[in-house]
Amino acid sequence: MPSQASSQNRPVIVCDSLDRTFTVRHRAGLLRRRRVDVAAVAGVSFTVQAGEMVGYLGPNGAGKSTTIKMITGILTPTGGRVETLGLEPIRRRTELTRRLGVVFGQRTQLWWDLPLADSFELLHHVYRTDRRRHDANVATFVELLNLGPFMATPVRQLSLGQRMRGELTAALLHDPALVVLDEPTIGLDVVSKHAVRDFLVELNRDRGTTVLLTTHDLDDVERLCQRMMIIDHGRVIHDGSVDGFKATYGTHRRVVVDLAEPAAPLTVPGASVEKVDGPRQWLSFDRRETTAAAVVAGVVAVAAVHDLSIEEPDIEELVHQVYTAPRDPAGDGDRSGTVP
Amino acid sequence: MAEAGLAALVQLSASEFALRRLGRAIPGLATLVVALAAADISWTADRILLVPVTVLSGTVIFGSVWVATASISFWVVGAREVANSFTYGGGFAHQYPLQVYARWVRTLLGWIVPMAFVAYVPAVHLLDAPNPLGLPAWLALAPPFVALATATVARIVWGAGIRAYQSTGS
Amino acid sequence: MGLTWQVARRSFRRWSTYRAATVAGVVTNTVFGYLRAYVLVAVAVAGGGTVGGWDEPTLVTFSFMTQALLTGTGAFGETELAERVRSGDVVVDLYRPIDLQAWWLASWTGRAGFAFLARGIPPALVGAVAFDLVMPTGPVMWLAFVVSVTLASGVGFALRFLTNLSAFWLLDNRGIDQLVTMTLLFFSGMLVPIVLFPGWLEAMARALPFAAMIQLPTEVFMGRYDTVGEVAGVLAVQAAWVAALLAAGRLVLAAATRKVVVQGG
Repeated sequence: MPSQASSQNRPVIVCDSLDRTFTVRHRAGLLRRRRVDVAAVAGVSFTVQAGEMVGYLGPNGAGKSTTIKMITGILTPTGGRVETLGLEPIRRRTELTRRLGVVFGQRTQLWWDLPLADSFELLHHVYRTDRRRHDANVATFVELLNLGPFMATPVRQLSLGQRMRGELTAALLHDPALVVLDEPTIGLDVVSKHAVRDFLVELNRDRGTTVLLTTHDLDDVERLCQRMMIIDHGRVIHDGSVDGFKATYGTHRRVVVDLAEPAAPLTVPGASVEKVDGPRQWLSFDRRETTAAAVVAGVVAVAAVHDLSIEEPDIEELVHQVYTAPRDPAGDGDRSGTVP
Repeated sequence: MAEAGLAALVQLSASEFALRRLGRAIPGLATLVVALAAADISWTADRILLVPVTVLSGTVIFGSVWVATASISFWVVGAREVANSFTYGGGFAHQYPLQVYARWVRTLLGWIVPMAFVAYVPAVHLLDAPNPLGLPAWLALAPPFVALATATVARIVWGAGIRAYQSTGS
Repeated sequence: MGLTWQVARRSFRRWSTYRAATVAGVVTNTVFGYLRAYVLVAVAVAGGGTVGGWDEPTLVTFSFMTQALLTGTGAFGETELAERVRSGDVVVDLYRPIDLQAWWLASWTGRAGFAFLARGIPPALVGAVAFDLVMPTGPVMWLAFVVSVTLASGVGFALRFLTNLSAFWLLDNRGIDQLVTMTLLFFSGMLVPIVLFPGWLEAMARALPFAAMIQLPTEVFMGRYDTVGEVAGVLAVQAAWVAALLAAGRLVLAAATRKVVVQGG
């Protein structure tokens, strides 16, 4: 039973009008330097409840890592308030680190020269976890992530997939209430990605661990998260369920038809042809205005169809659209309805 | 094949070159100038010639010792420090008159690794200093030849190292 | 403290795996013991038998013992922490509930322990066999020597911890590192025993922490301090430097952490 039962009622993360400005010096002329204030994060507010699995997306430089650093106590906000696991992250950083697990996709928290098992053992001493609890966790994770074959291998000799599984274990051995994952599946082969994803789902389900996941891999988001937040230029431009996102932004669906023979772009009411490649044509339609059935009927009426399929909005495309859509001139981050 | 190895050495040296490294030669040259001025030297033609020849020969000898001992890394990984006794040891030892050392040190770090020719032998001739080791006068002519010999040895060792490296393919 | 022991133990084990480098290092240390001994003896002979009040056996002992202590007291420094700062990996350490200074001290202890055993004892033994060394007289002096060496290594750690921390401000702190190493070599007695310095320079050297790393423990070994009181005084000086430099290290560490957290450096 996770020991975080008492914090079930408290939100795990509270961000209230969080600001972070950096002062950057630019060269202005030969000798002088101009100081420019860059707002990496501006007015970010959200709450994460216990047991949630949240995806945190944004283009590079959008403010993801800055927000994460403020949540975890590595960076002081220049405005606003943040509370993590009921603690003020900066002032009580050491205490917070005991209940926090972090996985960096690009950095390692394991000891390079030591066997994997040694890293786990050291972490037992670092976090002063209960011996039996620690051993039980190690055994569980070794089995779930299939670490057995390489527990004795020095970390520097592990493949990326093996190392990531080790990193996950290392982050979780001390039963943290909140786990922050920074690009955990980057560079992993398909098998490892699935292993990591399945593991995270089980972790969230069985132990109630809250997971905050930053990623560029939208498959991760689709398979793991019920909720996703998108940050861009320091502002949260979307915060809601993944399905809700697709419903809001994924207004268009596609019918892909394989005609009996190549033809000019078809004219079908309610649909427009996006692409033609030989006998194959991609037709896009707004699902608020018409239905797949109607479009299919329209296609069949004007051409001989060999085969067809219906595509759902690709979350990757949608997110890309959100990133590249024109900014809301009011600047308050309200994006709903402005995406074509 | 041997030329490729030499080219590699040249390229390596060039890539490691930094102007600041020349800066380390400046105190040394300054010391040389001051010392030559302060010492009571009866300057003859051969002695005047000796100075630049010595500096050049010494540089070549030193460099050759470094290259030759560095080559050991081609055969044994992580054995770089084995060379330290010769490179740093020789570098330290040659700064003092050779006669202070026991025979085995003189042989190893003075003649076999011919550091004696970098400073000691020329200095004895230049200063007309006491010659307790009984070195013959013609030895003062030797540094350029010793430099050539060490450079050749270095080239052979380096070449062998490159071949060994290429054959293991790691 | 379970963690301290675990870290120290693993550090010891890690350094013990570098066999070839250790053997090569021992050989180099020993060779330098010989070389420096010969040079100092020549100086003594030219000076009528003693130099700075030290006779030949003392000078020879000094050469070998300082070589023996060199690695374990960290005279040549280490830069692991600075490299972690440069690469940004230090953020991983900030995410752990550990005291960074305590951690690195534990790591240093393991490393120094191995260094004294593997690279300290052999050169000393060779010197003792090849020459007549001046040794500690009696168990009390031996104990004092062991304490002195431990404190000397502590000074070395605290000093290097500070230079490593400079990486938080100067991303490339190799300049500082080299400057500290050169100053250290000069004032610690490694290049020349500080008794050979002119009076004022020797006084200055004794006032600095570098002498506490090399010169002082070697002087204890050679029995340069006749009374227990004098020996205790030397140990107290070393201990004071350890305390002062460790305290400075904590202050600088706090400042470094503050910098990272407030500025995002």
